[in-house]
Amino acid sequence: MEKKSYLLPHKFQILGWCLFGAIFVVFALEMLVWNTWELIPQKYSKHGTMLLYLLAFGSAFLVAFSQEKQEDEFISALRRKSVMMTACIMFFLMIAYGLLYAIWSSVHPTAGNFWRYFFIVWRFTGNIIFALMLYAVLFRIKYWRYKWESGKDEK
Amino acid sequence: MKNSIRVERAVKRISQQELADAIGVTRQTIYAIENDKFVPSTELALKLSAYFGKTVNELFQL
Repeated sequence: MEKKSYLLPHKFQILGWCLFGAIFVVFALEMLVWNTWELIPQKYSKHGTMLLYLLAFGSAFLVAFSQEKQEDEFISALRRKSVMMTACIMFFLMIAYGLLYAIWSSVHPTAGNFWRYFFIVWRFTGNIIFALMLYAVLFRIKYWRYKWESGKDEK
Repeated sequence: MKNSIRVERAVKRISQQELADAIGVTRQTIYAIENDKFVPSTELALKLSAYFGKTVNELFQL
């Protein structure tokens, strides 16, 4: 029975990995060699960095939401589990941040730098892009783990 | 749910990859079923029973 799939064809995953590899090299060069953003003229650097981030998220999206070479019901089950885990982790984080802020701010209302870093972490992890990346990582770990275990089991 | 896929595979002397190719799934799926980490759908269970020439009840036990 043919089932409708909302995933992109497998070739998009290859494109996503290539894009991810290229972006990783650019980020690594920027951080390790130049330590500044010199690949793009200074006046465009902000836009260049933003473009790189967008491409990084785009490549993560392509890798996460493209079919495997052979997509079957077990892989679909792994995807469902990863989505569930992502949802649970995100709920836990949101509740934990809310509680921490409510309790800690009443005890130490002027914690200074702590709150600055706290809100940076909150902003970084409390959004849909982070959830997408988390799903992609969780799914990949599960997929590769089963691939490795099944290879070991076969020997 | 227990199953005797590994035993039946050994009787037929085929690898997980060969079984996976025969019924159109990945090797990971066969590994997960054999190790009780994944319960297959009715469709896949029927494919496995047809491949081994056994009934679903003979392959899978509660």
